[in-house]
Order: sequence, then structure tokens, then C-alpha cells
Amino acid sequence: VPSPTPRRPHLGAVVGAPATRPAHRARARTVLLLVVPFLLLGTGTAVAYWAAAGSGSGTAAAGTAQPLSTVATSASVTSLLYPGGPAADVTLAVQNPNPYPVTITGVAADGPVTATGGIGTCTTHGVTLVAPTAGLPFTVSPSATATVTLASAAQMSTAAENGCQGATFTLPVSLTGASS
Amino acid sequence: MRAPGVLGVALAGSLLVPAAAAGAAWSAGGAGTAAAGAAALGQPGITATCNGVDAIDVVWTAPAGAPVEAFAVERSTDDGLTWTPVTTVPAAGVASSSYTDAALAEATYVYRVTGTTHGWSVVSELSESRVVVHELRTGKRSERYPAGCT
Repeated sequence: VPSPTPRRPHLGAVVGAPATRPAHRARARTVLLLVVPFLLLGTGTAVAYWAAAGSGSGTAAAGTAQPLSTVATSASVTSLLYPGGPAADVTLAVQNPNPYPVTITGVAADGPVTATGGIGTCTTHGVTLVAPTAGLPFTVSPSATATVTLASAAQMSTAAENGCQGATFTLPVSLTGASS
Repeated sequence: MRAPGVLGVALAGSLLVPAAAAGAAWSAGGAGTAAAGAAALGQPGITATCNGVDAIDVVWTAPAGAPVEAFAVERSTDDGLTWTPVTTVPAAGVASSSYTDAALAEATYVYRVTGTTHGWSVVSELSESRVVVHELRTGKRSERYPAGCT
């Protein structure tokens, strides 16, 4: 029986008939040379895909907007109230606890005004918050406090008691704004 | 699957905020307090000087502070125990005003001025006292006439 003609190694064949040791090594080298570049290319493609699309099951924390607050501040000394007089300035110090700037666009009355430090009884003072003529909007930097003077934002009626002279008024306010 | 892990780490370092480029914004609000101050009426200064033998000039100054609408002048002949209104003078924005209290009877006079603005008021210190004396002149009719002011 004539011996079969040895088959020529087939490029790309992974599984083949047993071969001699030198032929096996040569075939394995060939396979590596062909497959590894494809593996590397595939890996690169995968990385590029994730980085570009940013989709998948990654986790991220969305910041929760923290409410604005105020800190105690002194009343303006250059613009003061008196009965029947013009509107006077209001000072406001807004604290922004958020990691982004916030622009305040609205300041509204949010409760009864109280008085301290007058020369006598000041139960009836007639002080009200009115729409400011200047000072809005203003921006508070991230994690910062900004003091602003709202021009002509408070008024005193003629009902103010005599004891209100020299008093300081605390005006509860609500603040509205948005990240900027 | 390392890529998602890398993405997660990258975002964990900073919180998400609205994209400015997209025009998105988070509403922000809160509550707190603001402050406003009230003026006070400054206390007027006052002087009282004799004008002739039976008149006294009362002069007062309008001090700094809330504007005064009017000044009320009062006098006392019992060293400030009781007061009699003399006149009320509109302030009209003048820095100082005066009033001559004339034809005075014999007595010792003390004055004060009260500045008013709506419901607010402020009273001056008491002026120095002035003494008006009359003397008896005899003739057809014996009468007391003003004789001096000190």
C-alpha cells in the first residue's frame, strides 16, 4: 500500500491531523500571528465603544439640590425707614450649600416681620417687604455666602409706634432661583 | 467588562449637575431672613434768650435723623412739672427755627420743643430758665409793668 501523500499544512486550520513536531510548531506560530492581532483589535474596539458611548451599567451619583438659607446680617445704615417715608434698603446674606452657583431671581415675604432694639414698644410697625428696585438677580458662588442689598425693598407705614425708632427689623423671606 | 467600571469611577468623583450647554437648570430655593433698619428722630437742641423786658426767643435746631414734620413749643412756669403749648411750627426742611414768646407775665420760664413725624416724636432737653420780672408803677393807676428779663 503506497503511503499517503502527506497533506500540506492548511493555513487557518486549527484542527488537523497529527503532524510532526516541527510542523506543529510552525502551524501554531502561524495561528498566533493571525489570531492575536484580531484579539487586540477586538479589545480596542470594545474599549472605544464604552468610552465613547458611556452607556452600560456604570453608577453615578446625582447631586441633590440643597436648600438655600441665610445668615444673620445687619441692616443698612445708609437707608432707613421712618413712618410714611420712602422705601428703604434691605440686606440679605444668602448661603449656597450646593457645589454649583445659584442665581437668586426672587425674594418674597414669608412671614410676619419682627422688631428688636427700638427705643420702646414696637409691636405695631407697619413694615412690609416690597418689590426691590435693584439687587436682583444675584449669583451666589458654590458653597459660599453672598450679601446683597435690595434697594427700596422695605416700607414703613404711618402706623409705626414711637418706640420703633432705631429698631432693626427681621423680615422672613423665601428665595427662588436656579443653578447657573 | 472593565469599561463600565472605569466609567463609574470617573463619575463618582463629582456630582452630576445640569449641563449648561443644554440650557438645563435646577431650581433652587430656600428660606431665611433679611434685615432692615428704622431711623430715629434726633433730639433738637434748644436755647432760650431774653428779648427785651418781657419776651423770650426760643431757638431750636433740627438734628440729623429722620425728617421732622413739625416742632411743638411748650413752656413751663413750674420748673417742668406742667407744660403749656405755645405754638407749633412746620419744620419745612429748615435746619433751625425760632419763636418769640412775647408779652410774658412775671414768672420763671422754661421751654422745650418736641419734634414730630407721624406717630414718632422726640423731645428736646429743657432750655435754660429765664426770669421775667414786673414792677409796680404808681401813678393815677398803679399797675405792674414789665421791668426786665434775665
